[in-house]
Amino acid sequence: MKYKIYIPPKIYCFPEIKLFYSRCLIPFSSQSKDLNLIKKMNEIYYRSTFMLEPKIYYNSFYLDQLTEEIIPIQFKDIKKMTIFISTLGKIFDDFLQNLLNENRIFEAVVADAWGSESIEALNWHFDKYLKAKSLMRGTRRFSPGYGNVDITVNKFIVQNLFDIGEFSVFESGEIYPKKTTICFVGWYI
Amino acid sequence: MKREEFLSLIKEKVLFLDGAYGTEFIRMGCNEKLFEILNIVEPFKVEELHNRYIKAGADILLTNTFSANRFKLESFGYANQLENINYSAVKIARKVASKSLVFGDIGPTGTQIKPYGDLSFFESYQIFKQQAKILIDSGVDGIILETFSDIKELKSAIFAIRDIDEDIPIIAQMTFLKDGRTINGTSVEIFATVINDLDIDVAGINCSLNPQEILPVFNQFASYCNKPLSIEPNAGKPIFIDDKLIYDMDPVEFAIYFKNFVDLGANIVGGCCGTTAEHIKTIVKLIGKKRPKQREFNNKQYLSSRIELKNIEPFLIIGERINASSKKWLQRKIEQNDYEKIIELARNQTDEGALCIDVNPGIEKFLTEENIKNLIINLDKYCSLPLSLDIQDLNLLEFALKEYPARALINSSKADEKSLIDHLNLIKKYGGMLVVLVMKDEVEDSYLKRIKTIKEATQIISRFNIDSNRIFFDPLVLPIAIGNDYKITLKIIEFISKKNMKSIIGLSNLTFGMPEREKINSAFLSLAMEKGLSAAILDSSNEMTMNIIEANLILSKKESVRTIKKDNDQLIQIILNGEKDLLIDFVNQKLKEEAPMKISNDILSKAMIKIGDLYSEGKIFLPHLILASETVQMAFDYLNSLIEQEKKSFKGKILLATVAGDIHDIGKKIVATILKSYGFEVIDIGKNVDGKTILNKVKTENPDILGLSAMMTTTLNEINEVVNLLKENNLNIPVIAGGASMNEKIASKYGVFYAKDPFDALGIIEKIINKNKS
Repeated sequence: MKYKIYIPPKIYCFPEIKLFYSRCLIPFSSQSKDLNLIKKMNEIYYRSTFMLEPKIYYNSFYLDQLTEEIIPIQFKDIKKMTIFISTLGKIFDDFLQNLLNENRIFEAVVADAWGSESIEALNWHFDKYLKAKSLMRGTRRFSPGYGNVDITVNKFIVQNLFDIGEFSVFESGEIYPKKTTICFVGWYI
Repeated sequence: MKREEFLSLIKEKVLFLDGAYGTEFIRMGCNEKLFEILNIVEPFKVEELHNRYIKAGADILLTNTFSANRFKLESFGYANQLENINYSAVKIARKVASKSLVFGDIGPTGTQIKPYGDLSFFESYQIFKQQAKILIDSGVDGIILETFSDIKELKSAIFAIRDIDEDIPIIAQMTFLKDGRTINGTSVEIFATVINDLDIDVAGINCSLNPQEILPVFNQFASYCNKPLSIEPNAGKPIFIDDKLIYDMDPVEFAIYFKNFVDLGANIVGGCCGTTAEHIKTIVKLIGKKRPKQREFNNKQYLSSRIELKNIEPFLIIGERINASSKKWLQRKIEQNDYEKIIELARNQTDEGALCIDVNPGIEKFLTEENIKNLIINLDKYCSLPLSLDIQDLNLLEFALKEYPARALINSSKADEKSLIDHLNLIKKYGGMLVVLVMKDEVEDSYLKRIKTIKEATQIISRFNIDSNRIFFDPLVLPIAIGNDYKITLKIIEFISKKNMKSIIGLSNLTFGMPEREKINSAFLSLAMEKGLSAAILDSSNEMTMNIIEANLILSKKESVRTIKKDNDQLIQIILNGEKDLLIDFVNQKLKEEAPMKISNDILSKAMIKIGDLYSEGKIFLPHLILASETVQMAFDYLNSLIEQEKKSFKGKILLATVAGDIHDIGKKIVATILKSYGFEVIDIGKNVDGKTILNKVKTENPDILGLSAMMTTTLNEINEVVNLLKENNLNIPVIAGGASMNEKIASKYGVFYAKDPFDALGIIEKIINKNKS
């Protein structure tokens, strides 16, 4: 096996509510003004929490083991990095897709926003967890698609570096299930 | 703990209260008739529960004393344990609390007080005083009064605690039903405006409702209350599963709403019935360490009875006819505790349009405290309007204020220092508003002397830290029949108004002893209102006077002519709220008069245009727009099903697709929903669609416009591929592109229109279609 698995408590994937509302394009200043809307959004927040199967695959690599394409230029002084693949799981994806198929667009949009913030919350938590566990100083979290690392490296990471069968990766770099992300943390050692 | 210390703590961060006690003891298998007895017989169980809440993150523990008042203990046969139960409760909580605060918990007596029950205000006061004294002497940091549904009972508890200790923090909470009223009809706005005046530290709402149900009630409360706020909803509704009591809201569903409570300005949050330590832990996790939000609240002045709240703006009409000074028979009725005629007078004035009822009990030396108490209790029970207490004897006035549950007008104080201080002390303690007569020992006849009196009175009021908006100055209307100059009164009203203060007059005095009083009073009232008069005590059965008030308000644009809410505004609200059933009801109603096509084109489409305007103006947000579109689309579908196929008309036909390699669907679906709601026919051929498939669909469907979506930078070029394919096949169709990675520059390079969001897409499509038509 080319990776370790961490299964976080679901509560670590619950996004901060103000960020969830903001992701739905409701500004902070208006977040409690329309109680009818809030009620509908909170109901979707609650339903979404049942659709989670969060899981993180992770492994650490010396940079000289990796191809140049997946090393951020910001990691030039780094010798080792951890790559982790985080996902909310297939059930959440199916939940979103079913809403779309049923043309329940409002619910789909809100649930999608929830999922995006949920995976952010999960990544934030795992980043903290890794750093606390390693007792080393780490870099800021980094993801393909930013800076010099093209998003298409996702396919290589999932299929070659980790060899995980449960994800599909398009040539475009898009991963299925959709609420899946890849993150890097470099270590100053 | 001192109040100042507590208030600075709740300004720093949102504090977490603990959860339920009674329902948790049931879940722990306790079967005592009164759980407070556990403090003595099984203290370790109470300690265990406290411990769970502390571990969950509670900043404030409540003592297990909710029902430990003398009245309730007596009914369970534990009267002799009053001190022991309350003292032990504090001891147990203190042992566990560590750095957390311990608040003594006091619930209602469990019986109704007068006028709805037998317990008197004084007995209720004594019961609370007794319990509060034990809790305070045992060392609590503060007192919480919770789950009160009678505002008069709550007031008796507050006065009792303050009479023991002026510096103990008090949290005062009432419980409301879904309609925002207590079981005996007091609205949450009345609670807020009454509690604003009282000497407590935090005001709040608890029990009866789950977080979702309590949210609109709390929102309303927060917009009227000027105190720091607390909230403790129930964790759903109780259900029994296999004889086990469970509340049906799990911790996550419960906790989600606490962000909204904090947004609305809550300083202290916790849970009532059914709330477990797990619920509290989840709230603590979701809220974290947060500074309470600064709130804006309505600082208008209101008078209220137990069930009616009356805004004193734009003009306060006070009915004058319960006046025993001028009616001997009325005085006799009060002395005989016979209130039938008085209640009839109050009801008549209510029907005539008065907003407040003046109560002058007559020659006070002939009246007892009991007469006054009974008078107020009867008016509280049978008169819905707020009262103006026209009582001069301070002792009797204080009895009246104790008995009156809501926010009264005190009529009146003279402007001399002693009288004014006595009356200011009363409104400081009991709340309400005050009429100050512009006179000391005797009425000054000159304008300047009366102005001087006002200025001196204003200085005394400011020393008391009482909002000057709570004061009406009465410039004194003197009978013109004996040569008094009414113009002096008008000049003083003008002076008061220019100083942004409030004025009030007793109108009928003007024409005392004269014929045709109605005409002269009305004329004077009109002049006085023009000068800025705020209120008048008058005969509301006098039609001319009442019409003059209405006409003056219309002239000064303080009151618009009543209009019936337009159908269209209601329709927009229904659509924005996503009320599909209501919308279908509306459509069905319209179908009785209009053809389906007309409803689609003239009513629903126009409503959506208005909703679009609201979105463009930033008054609503994208989720509103999507919800509205989805809702109205369902109505369009319904109406279309009633129209024969060949007669159906659309504004245009739009083909939508997400390009190959891209599985993002949501943005495109939003566009489709919005376009349909604006009357377009939309053919959505899905996501990850290759160029050839798109080309074939364009050929077979012959749309007016092609909309393409690409979310990722890596799939953007697919749009270009499709455009080239269309050109190669000589298909000159406008293409609109959108998606997170698309921008104006790239769109221009590809030769397509760029839509930055779904509403922008709608605008571009409408322009293209209109241009093609013209």
